[in-house]
Amino acid sequence: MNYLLKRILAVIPVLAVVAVIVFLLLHLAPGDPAVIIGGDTASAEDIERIRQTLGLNRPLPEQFFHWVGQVVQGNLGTSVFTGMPVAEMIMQRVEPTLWISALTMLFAVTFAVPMGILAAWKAGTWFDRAISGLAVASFSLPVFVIGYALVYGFSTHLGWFPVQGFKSLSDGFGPFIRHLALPVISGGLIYMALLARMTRSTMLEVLGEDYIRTARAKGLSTPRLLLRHALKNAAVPIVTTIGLGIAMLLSGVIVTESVFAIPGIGRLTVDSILRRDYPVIQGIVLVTATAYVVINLVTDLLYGLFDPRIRY
Amino acid sequence: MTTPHPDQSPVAPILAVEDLCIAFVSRDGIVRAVDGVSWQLRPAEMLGIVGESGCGKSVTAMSVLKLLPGPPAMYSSGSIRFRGEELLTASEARMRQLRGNAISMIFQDPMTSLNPVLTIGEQIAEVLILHQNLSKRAAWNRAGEMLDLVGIPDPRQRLRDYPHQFSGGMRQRAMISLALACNPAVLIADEPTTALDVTIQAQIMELLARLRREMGTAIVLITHDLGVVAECCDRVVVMYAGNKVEEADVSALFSRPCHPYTRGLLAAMPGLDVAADAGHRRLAEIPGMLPSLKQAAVGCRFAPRCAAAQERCHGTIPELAPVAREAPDHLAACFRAGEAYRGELA
Repeated sequence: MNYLLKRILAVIPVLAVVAVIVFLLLHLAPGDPAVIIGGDTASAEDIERIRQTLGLNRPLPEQFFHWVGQVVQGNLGTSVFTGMPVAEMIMQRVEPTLWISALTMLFAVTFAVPMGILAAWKAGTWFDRAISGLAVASFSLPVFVIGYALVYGFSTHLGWFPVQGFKSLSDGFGPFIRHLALPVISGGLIYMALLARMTRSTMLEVLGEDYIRTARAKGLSTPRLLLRHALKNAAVPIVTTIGLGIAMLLSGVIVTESVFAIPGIGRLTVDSILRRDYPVIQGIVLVTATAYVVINLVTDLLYGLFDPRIRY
Repeated sequence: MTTPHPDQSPVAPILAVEDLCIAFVSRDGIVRAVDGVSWQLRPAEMLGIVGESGCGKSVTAMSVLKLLPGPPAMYSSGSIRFRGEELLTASEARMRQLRGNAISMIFQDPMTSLNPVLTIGEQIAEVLILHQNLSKRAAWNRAGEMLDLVGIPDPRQRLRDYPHQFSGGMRQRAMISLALACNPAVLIADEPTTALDVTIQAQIMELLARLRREMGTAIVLITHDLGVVAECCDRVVVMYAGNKVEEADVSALFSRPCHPYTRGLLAAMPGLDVAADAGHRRLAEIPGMLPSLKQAAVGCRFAPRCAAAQERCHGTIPELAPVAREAPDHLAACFRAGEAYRGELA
């Protein structure tokens, strides 16, 4: 419990550093923030007005603490482009992104872990080599290549899946899953490959351990040997890889959402960057970084669940 | 007069290894790790198999439960019979029924032989649930009794511990309780004390001897420690380079070792008399190294290292035979074993 508390408290300085960097994002960009926000067509009065409303003429530390105070209350500022609160814009776009991320990871884990376990058990056989080949192929192909290839085959030709777009779960499960299938598969293959290889190598190492020989000498069946005795020992590296994968997904969805024209956070990020909508960019970076920190924390805490030697 | 002495009555062996040959196939050749070894284990007996590292004793032990991964391991010939049942041709399913149930095994390194992420109780209860159809609760209770039996204090409490919370000696005790949980007929102990402190070694051997008496388990003790053999075993098989070179009752072997290799092993054993000599005498050693097992033998495998070797030793393989007419159970594979038995060999 003490460890738990320490781990959670350790998150605070990380978040503080994130906050400083996100805040400085605007000020480190070359030029006057007010000019940047105002854009090319803004007049001198416009810029002065922006400076006044955003408090850009006050000292930097004061601005920072004011900004942090607002952020803590959930106020991430206002979009320069749409005039909408940033928090609201993010909330509107969060649903597709969360679904894509969750299903992508679910897809990757569901296939990769059994594949990795079997490849390790059958190490050196044609099955193992086939899995390795598949992994290398999935690794080397960028999301947009796989994505467009899948769209070409399954949407344009076969017409099984829509070419692009997103349907909320409230529109019915069928349309929802049909719209997500191709984005999830094309985005998930790389994580599946990564995780399958990681699972294979970790399991291979564990299967060579003395306690596996003991387990065999006890007369255990192969599934029990693999799942209860070996997989639990291999869990820590596998969970780490899953955690890293989720973190990588946060940026990975940008490409997926662009390829499939899905109105999620990734699209919002790209659009905001193109519009130089700094408050929105700041908001997204802050939310993403926080999510990243939380995922890392959860991964760390999960270690103890799988390995009793990691003390709390 | 009418009741025969138990030693004289022919007791059927519980485990019989006959002319066992195990080879490892690798890219640069075939290694004959075990080459025509035979031995028998009688009920409740403790048989020692001794020899230096690489002589094939562990491979023999692992082969009884067919735990060697094949390929590369190949059982090229021979037979292993447990209560008359041939194991070499037995199915994997049948082997799983026997493993941990009728035949158990404990290993050299207790630090790595227990699963670090499962509690001691889970690991012991697992075999009981698997082989004896016990309920979870009954298996757990029995696991507690087993820990108590092997002398772990506060056993109910310790069941919930993980291996890393146990010391080395306690882990080996836990391994023993795990191996004996289903009351097996045969226990194969592969160097059970090698990785332990000397004081702990004695405790573990005492424990094994006590459990053998109480439970009637026959034990195959694989070791290179002749002191342990002298103290605990009934009979000894000496192995060299994949061959059995000598077999005898423990007292006969230690009083009249007949194979030069056995004599070398005994001479290399530090004893109290050495200490009495105030450490002036250097420990004897056997010169040379184990031969490569890739080539087939043309003569005695030990001849290149043997002080008593003669010309015939290099050209002809000596057969395993009784060392003297009056000692039919004392076997040695040496042309000069008879001389050694009569004390004529220097």
